[in-house]
Amino acid sequence: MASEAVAVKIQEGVAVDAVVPAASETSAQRKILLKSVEGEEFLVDELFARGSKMISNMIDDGFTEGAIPLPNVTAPVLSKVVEYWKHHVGKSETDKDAREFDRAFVKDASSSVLFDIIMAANYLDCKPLLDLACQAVADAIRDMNVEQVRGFFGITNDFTPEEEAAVLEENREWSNALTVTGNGQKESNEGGNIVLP
Amino acid sequence: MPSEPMNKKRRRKRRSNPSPPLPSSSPSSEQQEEEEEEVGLVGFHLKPSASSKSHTIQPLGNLLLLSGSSSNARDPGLGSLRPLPDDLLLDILTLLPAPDLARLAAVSKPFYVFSTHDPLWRNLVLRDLGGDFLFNGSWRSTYSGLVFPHPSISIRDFYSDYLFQSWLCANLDMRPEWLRTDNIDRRRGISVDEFIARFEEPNRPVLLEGCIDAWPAMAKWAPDWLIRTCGDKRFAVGPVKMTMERYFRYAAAAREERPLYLFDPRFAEKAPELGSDYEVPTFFREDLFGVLGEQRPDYRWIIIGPAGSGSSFHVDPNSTSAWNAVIKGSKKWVMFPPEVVPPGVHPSPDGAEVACPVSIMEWFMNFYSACRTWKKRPVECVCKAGEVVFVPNGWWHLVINLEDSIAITQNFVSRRNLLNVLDFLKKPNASELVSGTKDRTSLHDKFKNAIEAAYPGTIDELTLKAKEKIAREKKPTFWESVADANVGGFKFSF
Repeated sequence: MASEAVAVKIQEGVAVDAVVPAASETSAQRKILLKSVEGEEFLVDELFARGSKMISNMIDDGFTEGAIPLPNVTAPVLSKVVEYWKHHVGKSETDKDAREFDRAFVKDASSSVLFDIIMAANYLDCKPLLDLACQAVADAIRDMNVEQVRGFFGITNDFTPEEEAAVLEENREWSNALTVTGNGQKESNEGGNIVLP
Repeated sequence: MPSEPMNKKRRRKRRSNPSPPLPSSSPSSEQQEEEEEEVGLVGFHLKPSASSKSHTIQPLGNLLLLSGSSSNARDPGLGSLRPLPDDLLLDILTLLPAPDLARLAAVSKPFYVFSTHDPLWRNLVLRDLGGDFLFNGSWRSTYSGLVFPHPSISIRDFYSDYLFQSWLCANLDMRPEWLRTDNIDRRRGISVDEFIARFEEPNRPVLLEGCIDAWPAMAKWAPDWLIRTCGDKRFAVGPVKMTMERYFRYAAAAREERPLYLFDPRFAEKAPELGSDYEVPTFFREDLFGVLGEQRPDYRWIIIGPAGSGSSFHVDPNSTSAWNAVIKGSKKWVMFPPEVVPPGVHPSPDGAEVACPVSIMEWFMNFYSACRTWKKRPVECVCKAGEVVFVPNGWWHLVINLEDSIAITQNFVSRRNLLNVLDFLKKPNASELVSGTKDRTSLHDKFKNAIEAAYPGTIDELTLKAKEKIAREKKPTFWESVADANVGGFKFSF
């Protein structure tokens, strides 16, 4: 996945000194070396790497030599994170290109990839990416019924029959309450029926 | 005093080990039937209202301490969500509308536990119902109007530090040892000059007794009276506005980690009788922002909150000083001087953000004992009804209501901290940091000009005094004397 121009696989054996930035480079040109849990190294513009608050703090704290190890992030996930930074860091929030990227980014991601990205974004402290991935999961399960949610996450029903009946009854009362009283909320059941199986 | 951003989602990182309760003994089948939810919470001061039946979630430490093959009921029922920590799981659920969240309860037991987590429903109530809600015992019940037996299914062997800590903090009372220290200076009947010389000028906190006894508010203000007097007027409560009646209904029943409190800067405009029921104590009458008239930043608030409500560590905005008078109830204060950052608090370099990710209760549980061994120990007190606390500018402070409380607080600028305030307003990021006005960027200029107009020459006079003071107190280094023409030129300092 590390096919982007920014993320370059480093050959083993290349001295790290060879990629330490020269003092005369500005931060816009300086590159940072990131190392995934498998040891794979990614050379990333400092500007993009600062998309992670954690990395940004490490740079500010004087971490200038060698690779920044990221033991909680695998190479495939790190690659996607770097892609995200490339499309977002330094751009305005309404940038069309960034939004288009986001749409494709979440559309093609499986739920396990999304979870990995959620945990990586949390670890790296990259809130916009965390929000994006969480929203993608929420959007996926919204409007799903109970069986569909179970299927989506691979969950076996662990209620006893009595318990399940009790919870479903609770849900039925819920959906009645939302239809009948309305309770002032803007989002009652669209069209008048919440189907809570 | 600013309120915390209560409605803002905070990246709360819980400490991984809440003070471990004693483990329940190895469960035999009879014991399990008997007290299956008993976690052995010896040593915790739980509120009387916290029943052991109402919590069925245990901290992760208990899972490790149990012998035999025990597993966490949390994990299988989450499927592929299992590796996500609880706080991230809740972050996802926060994004769902109410009907979807309600439906998830039927998916599996852990989903039931998470989707009925009351703070999620608090967000939904505040977002969807605004200040119109009739609190119904829990946020979930409030949203639907239904009352739920809690819980409707039995939950055993569910271990989660995050959820347990959340329940614990909502149901803890303050420990006696947290309330014991009262080392603030207390004064009664001192003159204004003495206050200025001993406390305001040197920027030291003090608790003043006996200076608000004559306030009509002391005799009159009480929940019923406020409800009658304020009628339909709405007051700021977190992100919404509510009538007194609806607020007190909530406050009487609230059992949560960060209860909402009423904190309104326009209370005297909304209900003029409130404004005339108190007056500013003589010590604080010099109030230079007054030169701005209607354009001044927010400066006075009524604060009403139940036990447990309050504000975790912060510094007041605009570099102002403050006073806080308790009319009903009592408050615990913990204060640190400006140069001492409290444990557990991480201000950003520009001061724009104060990250204190822990709630007040968590702070006491995890950080309070640490700072008591420091050289610069905090100033602490319990401020009771009829007493007034002076918070000097720049001081960190944490406040928690120990019981249902009603108070008035005002921020002010006197000549003693005028220069500080002007400096603060001059800062390049002042527009983010300056609070309480609609027109932030030119507040500095407006204020400075207004002061010059009303009190000509004052600023120059104060600036001169300040420089003289610095020169007196500090011997310049060699290089400073060479470089700084203002400090009387070249001086040898050896």
